[in-house]
Formats: sequence, C-alpha cells, structure tokens
Amino acid sequence: MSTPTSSPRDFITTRWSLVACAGDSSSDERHAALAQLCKVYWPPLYAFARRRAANDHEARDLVQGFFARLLERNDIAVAARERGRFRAYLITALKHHIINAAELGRAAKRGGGAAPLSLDFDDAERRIDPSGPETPEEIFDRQWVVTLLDEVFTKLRDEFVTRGDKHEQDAREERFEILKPSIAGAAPHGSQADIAATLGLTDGAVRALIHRLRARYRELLRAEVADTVAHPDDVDDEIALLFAAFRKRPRIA
Amino acid sequence: MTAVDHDTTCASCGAPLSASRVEGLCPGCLLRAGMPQAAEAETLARLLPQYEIFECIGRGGMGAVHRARQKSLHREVAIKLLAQEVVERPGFIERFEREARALAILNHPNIVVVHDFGSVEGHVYLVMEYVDGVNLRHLMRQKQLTPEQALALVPQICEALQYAHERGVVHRDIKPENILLDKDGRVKIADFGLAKLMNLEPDARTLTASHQVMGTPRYMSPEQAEGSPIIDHRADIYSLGLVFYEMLTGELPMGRFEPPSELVDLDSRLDDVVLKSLAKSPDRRYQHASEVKTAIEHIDREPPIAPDTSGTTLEGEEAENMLWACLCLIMPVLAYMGAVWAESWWPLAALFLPGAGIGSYYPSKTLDHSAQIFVALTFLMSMGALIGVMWALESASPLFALMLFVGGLASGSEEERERLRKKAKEEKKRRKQNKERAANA
Repeated sequence: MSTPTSSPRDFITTRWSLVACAGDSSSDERHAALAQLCKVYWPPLYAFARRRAANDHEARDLVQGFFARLLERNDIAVAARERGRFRAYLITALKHHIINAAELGRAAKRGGGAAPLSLDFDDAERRIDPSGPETPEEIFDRQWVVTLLDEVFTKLRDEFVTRGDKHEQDAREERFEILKPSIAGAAPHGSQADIAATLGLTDGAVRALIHRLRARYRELLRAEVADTVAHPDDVDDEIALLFAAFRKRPRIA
Repeated sequence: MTAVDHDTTCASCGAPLSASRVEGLCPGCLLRAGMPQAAEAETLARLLPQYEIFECIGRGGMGAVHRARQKSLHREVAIKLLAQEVVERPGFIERFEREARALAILNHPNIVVVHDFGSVEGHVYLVMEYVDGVNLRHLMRQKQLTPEQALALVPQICEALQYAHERGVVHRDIKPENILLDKDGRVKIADFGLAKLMNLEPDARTLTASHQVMGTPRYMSPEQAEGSPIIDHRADIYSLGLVFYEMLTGELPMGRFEPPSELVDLDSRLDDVVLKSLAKSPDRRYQHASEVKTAIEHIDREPPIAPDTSGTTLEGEEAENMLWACLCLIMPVLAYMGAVWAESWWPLAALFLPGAGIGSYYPSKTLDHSAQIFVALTFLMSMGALIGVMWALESASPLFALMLFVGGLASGSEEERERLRKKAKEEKKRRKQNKERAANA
C-alpha cells in the first residue's frame, strides 16, 4: 500500500492533461497517452455504439474506425483543451463519427484499415444489455463508471495482494475479498466483529485495516479521475457528475 | 453495507445494479466512497466508535455535520466535526469548547440540545440533537415561506433568543441556515457557535479582544461588522430583523432599501417592527427579543386597516364614519319631506343644514366605498331640499337659507378638516421617518 499517488503537484503529467498540453510534450508522448486512455475507456464507447448500430459487428466497426481516426488526428490537443473532460470529448467525437460513417458507408465505419487497438468485444458484449430502457448516453455514463472503478480495483487489488511469496499472496487475496465490501460503505453494526473473527484479528486491527484500505481506494479513484479531467480542481465535480449519472433512474419504456 | 448478492438494486443507495456491478459492489456507493465527505465520515467512525455514522447533512466554514446514531441509546444525533484547518487556528478549540458549554446550559424547546463534545486525536467534535426537517434558507429557496408563516416563526425565534439572552448567551450568528424547522414546524435554533458568555464567563472577552470579526457578514449587526469589542444581545435582534425582512420580502435589505410593505402586500405596521429591529444604534432597537414578539403578536391580533385612497389612514373611525353618513342621509330626507307637506318651512329647512354641512366634507374623508355612496346621496338630497324650500317660499328667505347652508358647510366641516389634515400630516411624517430609518439602517 505504499505506491505513490498523483497529487496536484504532478498532475500535469497525468494522461488527459498530457494529451491536451500541446506545447509542452512531444507528439509521441501525447499519442501514447491518448492510446493508453482509449485502451482503458473503450467499453463505454462500445456500449454507446451498440445502441446506435444495427448489430454487434457494426458497433465493433464503428469503435475501431473511431479510434483509427482519433489516433491519426493532429488537432487532438486543441480539441482536448476545448472539451475539458476526456469523457465529454469522447462521446461527442464518437457521435460525429457515427454521423459521418452513416453518410460514407461501411468502409468509413471500419476506419478504412486495420484495427488500431486490440479490444475484447465479446467481454464487453456480455456486460451490456442492448435492449435495456436506458438511452445510449445513460448507458455510456454507467459503463464509464464501471470501467473507471474496474481500473481502480485492479490497481488496488494488485497493491494489496502482490507482496511476499505465493502462499502469502493467496492469504492476502482472501483477506482482500473479505474486506472489499467495506470499501463501498460503512459496515453495519456487528459485521466488523464477524470480519475480525474470520481473519483472526482484533476489532481494532480490522477497523484500522478497513480505514487504510478505504483511504488507499479513495486515493486511487481520485488519481484515476484526475487522469480524465483537464484540471485537478475538476476531480470532485467529475465524481459528483458520475455519481449523479449513475443514480439517474433509467426511463421505463 | 452495500448489497453484493443477487439483488437487482443496492440495499444501501437503492440504485439498480443489473449488469453494472464492480467486484459485486454497487458502483454508486463506490463513487460516493471517493468523495471528500466519505473521508470525513470515515474519520468520525474511527474516532467515535460509539456512534454509527450516516450521511453528511450540512457543511459550513467551521466543518461538516453528519447524521449518526448513538449505539447505546439508539437515538439519532447530529455530529459536527470541525475542519482541521479551522481547529488548528490559534484559540479556536477554546472558542469551540465555549460554544459547547454555552449550548449545554440552554434547555429550551426552540434551541438545539447539545449532548456531548470533546476532542480526539486533534479532531474536535460536538454531538447535538438531530433535527429531522429543513432550515429556513431551504424554505426560502423553495419559495415555500409566506408572510403569514414568517409571522408564525418569528415569535418562536424570539422566545429562544429571549431565553438565551436571559442566561447571558448571545448567539451572534443568527441567519437562515441556523434556524431549523422540524417536521412539526417547530423552530430550533442551532449553532450558538459564536456565542459569548456574558456574565457567566467574563474571561471569554479576551477571545475577542483583538476585535476579531465573528459571525456571517451578511447578517451581522453594524457593531459586529465594525469589530466593536462590546457586542450584546441586541446584535441578535439586528440579525433577527435582517432575517425577518428577508422572510417577508425574499431579499436582504442592502444600502438604501424600501420598507417591506413597499415591496410586498403586507400590513404596513410590520414596517415599524422590522425597521426598529434594524436600527443602526443598538439603543434605538428593541431592547429585548420578547418585545419583538409582543409587537408582532399585537399586529396579529389587531385587524389591518382598510386601504387609504387619499394617502391618509384613520384608525378606529370606521363605525363612527358610518353613523355620521347615516345621519347625513336621514336628516335631509326629513327636511325635504317637511318642506313639501308642512306649512312652517323654517324649522324644517334648518334641519337639513347640519346634514348638508357634514355631507360636504365627508367625500374628502377616508371612507370605504359604501360610505362614500351614502355621502354622495346625502349631498344630492340636501340640494334637492334646498331647491324645494326656495321654490315654496318664493321670497328673499331662500337666499338666507342658502347662506345658512354655506355657513353650515363651512363651519361644520372646518374643525374636522383640520383634524384630518393633522392626521394625514402625521401619517406622512411616520412614513417618511420609516423610509429614512430604512435608508440609514
């Protein structure tokens, strides 16, 4: 749990600000940062395209074509600065791409060449409900939240578990699974005692463990969100916006 | 704890979970755990394990307030955790403890009860009664507050202030955010946070010896804003006046402002109460919160005065006006009938003169619509009677009758007219003074 996190001081090196920072970074660096972001945040785009496209194949072509064009473009830095948030930028750009593709035909959907990113569409397809009551935008937002949190949990788990030999790692993996639900909210009265009994620790030790785990989770989440906004002051707003988007009830058809 | 099983909605936040769980957990709750408020709640839970901490219910310059449950007593409480940057200011912990002690001696149905306070690991907290309701700011924002409701609330605020003032406690930060309303509509004043223990704790004065300005600037009394070292309970009366004005009009009096009744349809007598509370000099304000309450209750009991079309207001004379108007109507009728049927004209002709005289000035007087109609009829009938008498006598006598009529008109009305002029002048003066007070406050 000792990995350093992004702080406002080194924020300028985070990914979306790097993409947006045309004057200070080389084109290669920006390209790599953008590709890295796209590799993480493609599932919400696929979920959106899946709603707009006739079938999953068309949605896959749309997403790959979109990335092909996005990674080719030289005006990304200017566009990124104007859009502010990576999330807002992506969905707007994808909407334009879908409109253009509809006018130009299938070749444009594919981007006219090889797929620029290796993406597991089958897994993404399993995670979405193409016939749900949500609008494409709502699906995009919800999928964005899930993708973001998946990324955070992957890092948190790695940090927590990857320590010591195989035997110790297995034990820590088990401990992480038991403690994990406590990250999402305050444990009800008595449940910390159950955890303490299961892990063979005192109540106080469990309380301290949960506190550290939550604190680290919060740091990682905020760093991840910081990667997708243009200014560190926007982190709280972005989390609040995502929270509101997630809490928004889908309209019942 | 967040639902992780097979439920389709989160047991904690109620969000739908189908196909969108992360590690089996609710994404909404996970996002919330990343917010700064979550860190505070977590700190509270760790520092005060005897409480179960729920959501943040308020946030201000001093820190955040969380709803919580005292496990041992199964009662809901509100826990205020002071912001660390505030706690670390020199003298602040002392001030906070003073707030807690000031509150602890107060036991009144319109004041939030303090259950406990203390400091743990450098964090300072205050455990208070949980008020399930809204604050006045919320009500005003929702445009849910009518002037009638405002009039019902202010006496309760006055009672709480009077109670505290009698015990030497000055709130010093009366503002809509600190005035809570529970579900039964009962006022609960929170945050006697800047209270100064007057007689009970004279040493407390040293805290403000540097003339440090305390309170919320927009609701501060002039003496607080000027950093005066002598702040007493009349500062609360000024702040109450501001809140009252805002409740009635929806805006705060700034610079040169209009009396409330100029902005909204209100009993103009309330202007006096608001403006007296807002007097710049504490000596010219109400001297006790209970006086504000009494003044409002008096206005509430007494019916409002009918609107004045001529710009004057005559209190308590409506019944008298009506009686005179009736007399004006009857007497000329009698005079006219007498002139037609009787042979002796003079005594009867004389009868209508008082009526005609009184009738001549009533149109200038403030009467309601029906009374004005009476007066107009009186006038017409009087004229008719005069013409009848002149026609019957066919001599120089009608000229004499006309002189009597004019004389009656002039002499009968002069005294009353003077009285009315005087009243109108006084009313005009009062209104002017109110405006000046409003401008100077």
